[in-house]
Amino acid sequence: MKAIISIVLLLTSSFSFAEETSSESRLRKVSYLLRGHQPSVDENDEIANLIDLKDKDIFIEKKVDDFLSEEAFTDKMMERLDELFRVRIKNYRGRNYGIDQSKGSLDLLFKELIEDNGSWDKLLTETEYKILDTSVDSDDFSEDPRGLSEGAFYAYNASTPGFVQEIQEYLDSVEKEESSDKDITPYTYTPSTDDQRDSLAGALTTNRFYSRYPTTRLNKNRKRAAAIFRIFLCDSMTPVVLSSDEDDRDLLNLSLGGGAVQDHGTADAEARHGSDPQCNSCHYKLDPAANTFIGAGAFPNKRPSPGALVYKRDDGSLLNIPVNGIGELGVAITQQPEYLQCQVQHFWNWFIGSDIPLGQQKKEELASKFNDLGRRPKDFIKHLLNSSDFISPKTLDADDIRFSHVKPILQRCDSCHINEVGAPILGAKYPYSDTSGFNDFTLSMMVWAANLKEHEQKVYMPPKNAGWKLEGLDRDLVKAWIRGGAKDDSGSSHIGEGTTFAKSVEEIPLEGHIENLKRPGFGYLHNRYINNYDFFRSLEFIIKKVEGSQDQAYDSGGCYFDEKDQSTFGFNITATGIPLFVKPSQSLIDLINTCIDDSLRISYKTAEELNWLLTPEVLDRHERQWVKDIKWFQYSESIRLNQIKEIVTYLVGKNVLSDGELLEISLRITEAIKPLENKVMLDEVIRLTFKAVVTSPEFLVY
Amino acid sequence: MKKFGIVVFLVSVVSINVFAEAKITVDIKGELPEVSRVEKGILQISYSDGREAQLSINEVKRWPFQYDAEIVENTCAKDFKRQMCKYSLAIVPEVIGFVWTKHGETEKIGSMVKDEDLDPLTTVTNLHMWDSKYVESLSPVYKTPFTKKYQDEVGDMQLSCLDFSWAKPFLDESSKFKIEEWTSESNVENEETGLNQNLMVSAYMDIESNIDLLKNELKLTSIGFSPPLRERPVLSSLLFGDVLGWSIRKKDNSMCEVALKADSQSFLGFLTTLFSNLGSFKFSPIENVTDLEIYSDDQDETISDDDLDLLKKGVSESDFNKIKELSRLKLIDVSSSKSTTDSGEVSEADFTIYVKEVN
Repeated sequence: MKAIISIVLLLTSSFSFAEETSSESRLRKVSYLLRGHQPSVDENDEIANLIDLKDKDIFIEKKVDDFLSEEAFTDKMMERLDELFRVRIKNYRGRNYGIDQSKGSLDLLFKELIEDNGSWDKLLTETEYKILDTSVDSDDFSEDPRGLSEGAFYAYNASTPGFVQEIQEYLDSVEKEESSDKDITPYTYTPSTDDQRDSLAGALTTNRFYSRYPTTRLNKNRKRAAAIFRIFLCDSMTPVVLSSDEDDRDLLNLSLGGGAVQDHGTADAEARHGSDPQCNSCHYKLDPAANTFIGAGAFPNKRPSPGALVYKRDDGSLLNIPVNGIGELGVAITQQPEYLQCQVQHFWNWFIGSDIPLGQQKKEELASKFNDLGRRPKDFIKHLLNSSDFISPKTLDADDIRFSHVKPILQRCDSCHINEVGAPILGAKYPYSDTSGFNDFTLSMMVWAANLKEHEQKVYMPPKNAGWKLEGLDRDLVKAWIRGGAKDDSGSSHIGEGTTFAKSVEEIPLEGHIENLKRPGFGYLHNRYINNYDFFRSLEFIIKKVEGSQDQAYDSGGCYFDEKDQSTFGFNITATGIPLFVKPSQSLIDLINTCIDDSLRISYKTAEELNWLLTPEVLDRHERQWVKDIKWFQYSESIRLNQIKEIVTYLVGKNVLSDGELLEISLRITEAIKPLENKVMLDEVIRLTFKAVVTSPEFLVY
Repeated sequence: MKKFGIVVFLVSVVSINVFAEAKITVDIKGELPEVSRVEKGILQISYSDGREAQLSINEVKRWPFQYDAEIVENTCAKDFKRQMCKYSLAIVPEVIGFVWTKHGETEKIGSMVKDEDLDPLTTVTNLHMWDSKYVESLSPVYKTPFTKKYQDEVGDMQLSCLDFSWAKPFLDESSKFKIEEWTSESNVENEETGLNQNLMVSAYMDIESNIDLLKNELKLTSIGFSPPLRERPVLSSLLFGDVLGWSIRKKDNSMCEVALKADSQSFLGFLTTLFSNLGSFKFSPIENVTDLEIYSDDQDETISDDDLDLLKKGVSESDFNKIKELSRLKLIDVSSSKSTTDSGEVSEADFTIYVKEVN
């Protein structure tokens, strides 16, 4: 049986191409983007029954409003924010250990911001915190080495006698009144003095942010400052290697968040560090921001520490705003155009796609719109989903390839290299250096390591144990980008003119995949794979329907996994906030198969109970029979094909696939089941079809 | 047999704190003892073979210790040079446990009731160290139990350095020196990232001290705030950690920092020596044991039916009830395990009482 499953998976792994994007596909895409799962059967039926395209558009517009007010939208946005902040994302199907993310003040801040459609600035300016956790005195050493409960985290800032007891008493009292743990209204901590408020800054002064970006006496809060620049100003900083000795290398790694500090805390080293031009290229801006955390290493202080917001603008001018405390720093950041443009870029990446370049002019227009809309996330998302960039995306020629097109591919390299001192971070910022020689060098290393010239040599990167390969369209995209001059998003080439490297890029052969960019289709631009969180949500959606009850849990043992396996399955890697695999990993597919075997309890369902899934021809004469007793091969070939098509349509959605695509995947599955001959019963066919479809691009891509 | 002793030992090693919590493990060798209160309110356990033990406490003894720390960084000093310092501190260990007063093997009288398979430290051990002196002021937001009687014994924490002149601009007229934040770092796993990293594992705020510039000596006088920590045992001392750091506020409101690298290995070595001597302490019974209450980690914990059945095999229900009904001694948790013979008889059981001193 296992062999047959493999055949099914193998057959379904080939691609087919959409002829055009239907309204139903767009609804599916909107549903995934906003809720993280597919439209319901009713929603699918409703849009499919509309004839007029305008009516379909109106229907989608209305659905966008509906989806934005659903709890699933809040959950999906919280996942995005967790990803952006690179904190652990709540494990959807796995077992969580230690930290209960849902009780974190950071998560409650995200939740309130999204639910209330508040100003995005609150991520930096909020000074009121919601608290749900005050637990202390756990004897379980492994539970949470952060040491502080969410309540205790603000105890010093509050400096109110009995602060933690007060919260606990409040929570005890509301727990008695409110039925479930989920409904408990959190305690709200409101600082009372200006000094207290100036020592707080939204997400930056939360227990989880502090834990994710810990500081040491050598690091001096620079890791925290670097996270602020990355998240709020889209300025990614990474450790550099000095030209001197190994000691500097270690020092820099440590100071910017590498390994442990044991013997490196020397003032001499710090002085060298502060004076080296390469170090100083980041430290002139990192250190003033980091200073606002001094005296607040483990939890927020009640007195602000002075610092400054300092950075060079694109026009070369120096911004230098002295601030008294992290609170003022947060406010100062929200007043900068770079902040607005950066946040717009995040929304663009989430809803249009990080692989679609966002030019400067467009970015400024969108930043202005974001501002006009009160910086409210729901309004801005709605604006993006109604834009032509979303509704009618452009197709590309090879010459149009920009850095953003290859960025998601290069970010997979960063998953391993991000903490490696000296390795350029390929998917963060481009060009890699202001010096074209260094940029050429980095690109030439990329060409050599991945063997993009297809010479007879070892392929060094990605290595065999990386878990992914640079192949197919991805490989051609990187090749075409470098061949075309390795252009940034504005279209400027960054390969030195007339250099040896510039001449050599013509030797990079393309393999023809790039032609697929000219047509919208699965797995290419504007289409992306369902991430693992969405996948399990989708699966639950499907299986609950089969179970016939929204209340009935499907979570049998096979669907669970340990958190430590998350990266193997393709969940986000904390260091980069992105998954290593674009598609589900083989390990995840194995898990899915076990999950469906364990969870899809259909054997003892009668055909009639599954009438929404079975065609009239299959139902005919068998309504009362258990599906495990209905022989598959008693039906004619056409009835079998139609039944498979029916299941595929249920899983992917009506009109999402073209007739040709639907036929192609259905034939693949039918052919794969053929060798089973007379042994196979209807329940097994349904199960096999589910497995084949949910692991195929037709299901996994939206 | 459950290895409660191991748990107790771990708690002891890391519980260098001010909490007067206690765990007692009694090996009852197949039967539960009768628990009674005898003269002067002493808690006594009696066995059917005539053995008796009383809840006792060790003779208070001060263990002084000095260890090295080096100032490795100082942004508060104009011309910084590394310099060696020395911490002086004292620890007062407190051991609570049942001590044999009657025993067939006379050499065991005066020694602690213990599980033969386990470390002798299957008892209560609290190490009161110099932090204890400041405990009353430690936590304005969370009530911290503290045994005041050791305050004088533990004495002051002092730090002697080669040169404290850099601190002069920070001293007021009465030589008071304020440290706004005192942190310690250790290499531990970060739950958020899953990586082992140097992390701040403790932070104390608003620390006041006096610096004697002639003697180059800093003496701690008070600690303003210590957070109620989730993981109390690991994080409870100012001196635990590889790197200790101070944040100091300058007169212009800006901040500077001092980092000290402490000889934590030498400190741990001292603790090991101390632990190896605990078994040889002299003990005396604790009078008026009503000052103790038995508690459980989990207040909602109830005794399972299995445990009850097991207990009833080794002890009469009335004896068991006696344990529960002892005046102001609330038995919340009885943990037990058994090794059964082929015939199904219980041959061993553990009896664990959790004790907490509240006054």
